[in-house]
Amino acid sequence: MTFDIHVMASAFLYILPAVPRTVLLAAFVLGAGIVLGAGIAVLRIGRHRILNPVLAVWVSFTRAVPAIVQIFIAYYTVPFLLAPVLSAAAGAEVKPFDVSPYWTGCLLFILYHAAYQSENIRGALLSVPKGQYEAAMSIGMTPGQARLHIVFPQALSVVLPTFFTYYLHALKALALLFTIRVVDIFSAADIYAALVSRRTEPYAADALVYWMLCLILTAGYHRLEASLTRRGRAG
Amino acid sequence: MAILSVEELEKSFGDRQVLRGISFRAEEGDVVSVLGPSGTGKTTMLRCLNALERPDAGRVAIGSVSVDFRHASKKEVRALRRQSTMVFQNFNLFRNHTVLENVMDGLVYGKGMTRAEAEPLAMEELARVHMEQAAHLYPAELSGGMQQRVGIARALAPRPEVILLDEPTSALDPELVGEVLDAIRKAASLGITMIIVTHEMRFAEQISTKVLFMAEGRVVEEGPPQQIFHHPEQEKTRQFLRRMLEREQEG
Repeated sequence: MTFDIHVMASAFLYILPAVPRTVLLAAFVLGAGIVLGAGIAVLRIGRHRILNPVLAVWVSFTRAVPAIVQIFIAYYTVPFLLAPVLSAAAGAEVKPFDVSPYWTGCLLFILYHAAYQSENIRGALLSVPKGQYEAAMSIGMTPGQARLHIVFPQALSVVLPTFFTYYLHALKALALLFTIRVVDIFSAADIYAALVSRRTEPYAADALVYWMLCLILTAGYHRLEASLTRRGRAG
Repeated sequence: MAILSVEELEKSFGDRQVLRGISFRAEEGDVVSVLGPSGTGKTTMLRCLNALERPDAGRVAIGSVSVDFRHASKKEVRALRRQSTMVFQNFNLFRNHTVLENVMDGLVYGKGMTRAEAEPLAMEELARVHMEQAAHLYPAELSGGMQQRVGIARALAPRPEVILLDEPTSALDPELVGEVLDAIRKAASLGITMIIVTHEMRFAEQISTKVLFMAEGRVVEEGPPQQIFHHPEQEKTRQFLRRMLEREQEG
């Protein structure tokens, strides 16, 4: 079998429209996961007697079980849970398999990232020295002001590089959603491979898309990081 | 009337009782030096005055706010905390804020001023400690001595009733101690009441209007510096001073 560069080129063009969709979806699920994870981190640092152990068990489960296993579990349960909710909202009956796998995937990945990010954020919050909070209290800030203006921004500068690393993970992890019929960068390649009955070129084009995307995103991130470096530098 | 009064302050960490009934008073404009061997609760006592450590029992009154720690509400504790500011051994400047912002923060968040109101006041305090040139730098870009001078400006800016200084020169290289002591002298000359935990004996003798000598969680002796440094009544005080002054002469 010969490698046909023309097939690869047209595969490349076929895949491109899936790029913005995938980039945004990854940003959305990670972003929502970060917000939820931050809430979990704050609760866990608070050492709530009931919530803390419950959250600890859930975080441990989510981080231990492979994403693909969780996707399958979610795919066969979430629609049954969501259907009644959507039925009530729409005012008409929605059957479980009318529930778009897209929403199942979103919900799953938000929870998945929340578990990982809660640990990252917890570590970052604990890395801010206690003296910073005490100094804020000593000059008359309220606990809320001390967290908002002093502790959180410092924790953010610690955790931001990790967020970016996880964003690239999040982007690639979406490829797993092809198993439940959600079309991302990888699923697009897979569909094109089926259309032209060739495998090598579409997948090669797909790898190339991922690689270029990663380079572009990394360059963008470095520019952002450079502009933030002066702030929050460790003292 | 005393601007600060402390009555029967007690504090334990687990089984270890660190403060065993501390009482003293300071008049407005007093500079009170707190001396004593390490581990006798000087820093803990100071941190109880703004409730960074919550005392188990006792009363602290600063200005118009008086708090009995056996049954104090959060609101009372916060009101007490607003009567003072603190200079920390490790400076604790806000690392994500510039020098100027560090000094403005107490005015903006503590006092509710606008940034436009706070900025000239903050610049004035920075000028007092000769740090106005560094206004737009971040703490990480400064030496320890410079950071501590900013720490002093930050504590001065809101014009609290009392400034608490927790070993302000202990974390500094010896050659940087002088500039910080000068900044504290300037602050004292404004007539603001200060409580200083320090190991700088000569400095304490020069600057204080009152000296407390603490050992094992109690105030062993207190009085004007002349008396404590030259005619101490207690054997513990004599021993401690002899040891410390010898060390300063070697240094």
